Amino acid sequence: MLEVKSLSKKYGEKTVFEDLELSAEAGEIIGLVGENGAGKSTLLKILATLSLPSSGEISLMNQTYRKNEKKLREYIAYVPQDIALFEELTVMENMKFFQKLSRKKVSKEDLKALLSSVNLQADQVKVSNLSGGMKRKLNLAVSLISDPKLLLLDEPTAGIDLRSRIEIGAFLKKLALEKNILIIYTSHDMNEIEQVCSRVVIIGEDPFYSKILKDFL
Amino acid sequence: MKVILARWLLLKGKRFKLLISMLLPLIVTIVITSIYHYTSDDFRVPVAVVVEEDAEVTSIIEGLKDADYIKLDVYDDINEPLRNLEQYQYDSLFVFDADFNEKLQNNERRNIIESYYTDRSFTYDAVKELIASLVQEEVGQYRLSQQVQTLQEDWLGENNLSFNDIVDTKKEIEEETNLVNQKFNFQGQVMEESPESSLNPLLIYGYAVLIFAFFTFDFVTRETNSETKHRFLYLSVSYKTFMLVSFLSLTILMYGFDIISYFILMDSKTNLLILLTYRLVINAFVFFTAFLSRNILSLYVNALLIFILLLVTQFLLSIIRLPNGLTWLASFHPVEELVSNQHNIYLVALVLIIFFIWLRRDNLVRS
Repeated sequence: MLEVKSLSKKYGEKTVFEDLELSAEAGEIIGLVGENGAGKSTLLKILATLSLPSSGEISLMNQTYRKNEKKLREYIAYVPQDIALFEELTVMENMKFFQKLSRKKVSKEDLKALLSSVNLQADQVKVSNLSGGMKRKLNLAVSLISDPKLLLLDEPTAGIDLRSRIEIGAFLKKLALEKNILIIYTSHDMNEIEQVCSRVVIIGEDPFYSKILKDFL
Repeated sequence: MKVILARWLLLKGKRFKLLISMLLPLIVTIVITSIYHYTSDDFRVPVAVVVEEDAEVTSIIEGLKDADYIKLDVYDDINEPLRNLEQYQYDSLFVFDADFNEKLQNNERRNIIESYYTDRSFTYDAVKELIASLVQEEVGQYRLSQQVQTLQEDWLGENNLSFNDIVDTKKEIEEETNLVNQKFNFQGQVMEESPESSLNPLLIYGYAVLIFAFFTFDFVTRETNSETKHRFLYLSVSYKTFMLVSFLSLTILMYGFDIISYFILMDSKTNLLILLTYRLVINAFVFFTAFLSRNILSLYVNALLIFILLLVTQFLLSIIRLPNGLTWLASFHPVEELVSNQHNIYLVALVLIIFFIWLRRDNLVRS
């Protein structure tokens, strides 16, 4: 489903990563690990079409990013590390806002079902009054309104309580299985990687990560 | 339509603030012009004039009333105004005796008017000079009338033109040919009369519209600097399209308030279309300033700086004559164009060009 070939990213003289190769199928959950600055978030942003690679090719569902970028965005959802929600609106109002502008027709019942699936019932509460874990769930739920084929998450469980982490992890596994979605996400939590991911990709050259993965997995 | 509904969802919680910011230009204009008219009387110097019976001084009284700095009260008896002068309620007092006109006709030049002032009088000399010039004009009219009547008798053997007939004819001729008041126009161009020296409500309204537009469009700064902007990449409308529709919807809404303000505040000389093009220019200007501001504080600081800059440049334009080749510069001052009853056409064109360039640029800057 996803093919990444000889992907490189440079900022001026600085090389973030070079000749990266990746192949993934629908239904997989791939964890990206690596040291800080290795390029995990950069790769995610390139896959999300938020950034352009310096060289290399990416194709999704046999369509190249170079020629079909705008069309492919219909199939991609990106959950940023920072909360991308309207703090002054309620949970349901946020869902309704993005539903109105979504490419897919989604009913109010579907929105409620989506919130229920991430275990977020407080739909009349303002986002500014939610806990960190609930905000992250909503952050994820909003991205799923468009029913994507490729879901990209940048540290979706950073800074939240254990229960919410477990719930999100369980939800992602269920989502990949039931909806046959390819999920790629970054995390520093090895327990979470072990619990959730079907495959791990190491970004960067730090041998520590190779060793720790061997011990863990 | 879905874009407007989505925008309404975001602004619903701030509808009260939005309504107030759209109403405030009208409210502020009414308040300021009311205060000005109420207090402008207080800034005029109170002067009393006593016109005794038989004194015919209508034109002199009219001349005194026309002076902006004088608040004139007319009496027929000296006692009350003199008492008020002693109590410093008047700056000065002038008395026209019953035989004032007779003295003028008899060519008397001295002691024809009684005057009184106090140790606190500060405009006595100026008012005295003004009365002297008005009396001089009156004397001139007597002279003219006498000359014309003499010529009529000598040459035509008749005397059927009265003093008033001669004076009225003189004034007509003065109005038609007096070079001081003559307006010179290019062919076909109609020059507007310069406004009377009172506060122009359009000026106040223009600046109020500018300031409160920043409060209306401050959401642009918040949303542009928020992570939510990136979500638009995956939606059916781009972020810029969403913002453009928001801009147009709010501008149309504000037009409603402008139309109401037009009928309440403005006179028939003001062109409604000019007011509406001004609104478009200002809203666009504020919109782009908000788009480029990194946070709300910098937006409001920019708002204040822009307000001061426009105010200062307008003041400079009113006192400095631009060289012949640079008069077009004044066309780029939106408030100046508004109060001059001009269409802001160059600025409208500039706005359209900027919108076109803005929309054509990539929706998100990507590295």
